[in-house]
Amino acid sequence: MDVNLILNDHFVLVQRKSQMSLHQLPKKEGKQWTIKVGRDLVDLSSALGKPHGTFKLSRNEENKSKAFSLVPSNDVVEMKEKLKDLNSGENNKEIWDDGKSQQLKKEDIEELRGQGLTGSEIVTQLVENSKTFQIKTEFSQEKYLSKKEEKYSEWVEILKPNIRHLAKYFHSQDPMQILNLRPDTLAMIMSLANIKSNGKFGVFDGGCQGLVTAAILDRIQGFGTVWNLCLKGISQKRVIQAMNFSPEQLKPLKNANLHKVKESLKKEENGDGDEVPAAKIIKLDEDAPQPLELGSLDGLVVLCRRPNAIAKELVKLLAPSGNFVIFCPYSEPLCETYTDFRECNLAVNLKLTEAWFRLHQVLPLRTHPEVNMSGSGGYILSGIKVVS
Amino acid sequence: MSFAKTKHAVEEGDTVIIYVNPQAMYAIQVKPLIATKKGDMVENIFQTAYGALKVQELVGKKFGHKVQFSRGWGYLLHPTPELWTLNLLHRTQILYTPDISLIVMQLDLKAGSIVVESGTGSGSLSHAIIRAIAPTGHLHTFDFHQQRVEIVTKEFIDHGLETFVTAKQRDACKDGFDLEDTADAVFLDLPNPWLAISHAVKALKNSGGRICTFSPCIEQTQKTCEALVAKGFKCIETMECLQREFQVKNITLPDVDDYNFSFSQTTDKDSEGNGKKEGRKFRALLPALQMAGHTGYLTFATWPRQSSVQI
Repeated sequence: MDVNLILNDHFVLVQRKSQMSLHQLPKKEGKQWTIKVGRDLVDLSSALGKPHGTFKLSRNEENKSKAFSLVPSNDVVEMKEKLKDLNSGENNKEIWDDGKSQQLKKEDIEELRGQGLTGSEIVTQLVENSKTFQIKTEFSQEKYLSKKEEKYSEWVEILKPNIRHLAKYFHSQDPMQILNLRPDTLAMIMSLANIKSNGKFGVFDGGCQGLVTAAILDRIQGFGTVWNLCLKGISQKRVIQAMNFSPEQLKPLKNANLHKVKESLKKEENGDGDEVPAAKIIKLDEDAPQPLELGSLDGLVVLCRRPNAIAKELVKLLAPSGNFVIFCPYSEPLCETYTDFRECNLAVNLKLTEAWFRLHQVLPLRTHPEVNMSGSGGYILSGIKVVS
Repeated sequence: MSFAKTKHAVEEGDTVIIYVNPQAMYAIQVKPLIATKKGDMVENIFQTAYGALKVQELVGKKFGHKVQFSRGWGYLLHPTPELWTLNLLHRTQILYTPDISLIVMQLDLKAGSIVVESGTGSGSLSHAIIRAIAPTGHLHTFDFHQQRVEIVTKEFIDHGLETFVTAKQRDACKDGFDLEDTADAVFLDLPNPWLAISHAVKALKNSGGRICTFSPCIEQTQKTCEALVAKGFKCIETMECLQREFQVKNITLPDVDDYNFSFSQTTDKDSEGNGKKEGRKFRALLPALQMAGHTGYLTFATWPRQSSVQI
């Protein structure tokens, strides 16, 4: 059940070169939806009904100041290919960075945009009006053109959101909105919690926008159960929404208010026939969950800034030999949790780890690690529950 | 058996993990008899530092509980791909969990994915791929070494995973995969992955897919990236990941005269005005003194939907 068309009410990712943004198309058909891509206005609703892929920003000929519309395109032209016949230099010995190399002013460029020139045409104008372009080295020219394309490229990718893109997007926008859960750390959580179909998993999301829950739902594709464990009514679900899950893919998701679970467990224990006054029901979804039982989960993921002492309590939901992962953006709370678990003999294979991650630029004669790097992606305490 | 399904108690034939401490874990297949080097069948008794364990007695025992040895005890754990990776018999250098987890996520693997892997090696990554794609997906895995294919095939059967995987002997670079328009993802861990790129393209679905190559050396990575660009792959990214592990220790630093000093004119007594010596206590997060510094470069790329495909 793979929906590959851009539909109303669905989320899409719009990408121009390395810039990405997340948008939701309007619920109502026929409604126009204009978004900003860099400094350009784009009518996203013009892509409705088309398959995800590459689109060209197309100008309305009559009214040049209106938003661009999107036209499916297969003819992406890279500026470095288009301008490859120009001269280039040997080195930067004669190049002086005095800010006067470019003869077009800001106003001139704005005028060109207003005249309806395409991105490629504007970049060509910039190159023609640059005093230094043809004495730059080839590599320097490529870098220059790449930089200009970031701003002016007339092609965008409309992508179907997936966990890989969303994890990167949310982390790059504002890391603490997802507790600094970097994508590679998310990948480790998925392995260490033994996420697999036909398993029963519990997630306590203390501020990750539902990223881990969405990742599990995506991995298991309807086979199994994911308990969204919550205390308060603030539901973490932005990423779950952005995934455009179908009803089948959402089927495993069940909400469990921990206070209600505690009540129903007490009830069973006491064998009460009496009517217990209904606990304050905090409505998250329309689900009426079957009671969640202690010692029933195959895997548990806890994501919060203060894992003590809730993590220890939630591990009671895990079956013996079940896997747990506790993620925290800070290491100090996890030190306490680690010591706590150790002293109580709750688990074996207890490991406190941090993931180290680096991207590389791989280009002929220009291969090196990227200049910027993530300094931290959060900490993980993982282990296997045992009965001592 | 217990890889495919979560069980609460051991059944005969299951592969289980006996855990003594983080450095002493063992994967054991639960069967009453075991072959000696000479080929004779003897009672399956497993020796540990804490004594012997009659393996057949594990049948019926619960996972997550203690098991007794003749001079001590350990824990009986349910197998997972992570535990298997740490305890499998190495026939080749293997991939470990940090790289494996990144590969599974960056290839967009999920239940139902069809994956091509070459080379199979010791089956470390294979087990994690199967976990991600079961019950509706399939793994086609290839290795040019006949014996390795035989050993890994037996392991898949022992672990109850044979319906999810096909292991074949094949030289991927020379002969390709004999698959067309089939795979959602291709993984290459070969000395010369650039030679298999065309074969990978043929195996990938025309509606698009993902590719990953793992290479210890930067030269291999460079050649692979050039081949990917030339073939028309998009979103080519090269990355590496490592794990830093920490110990948690309570540290006490005694107040020793060696460090008692101040430039200002004070008496020998400390700031409190008493002569009592107090140590400093704190809980420290200690990184390991030595850690794995490099495994390999992971290169990922997207095979875009081909224009021949109608939606």
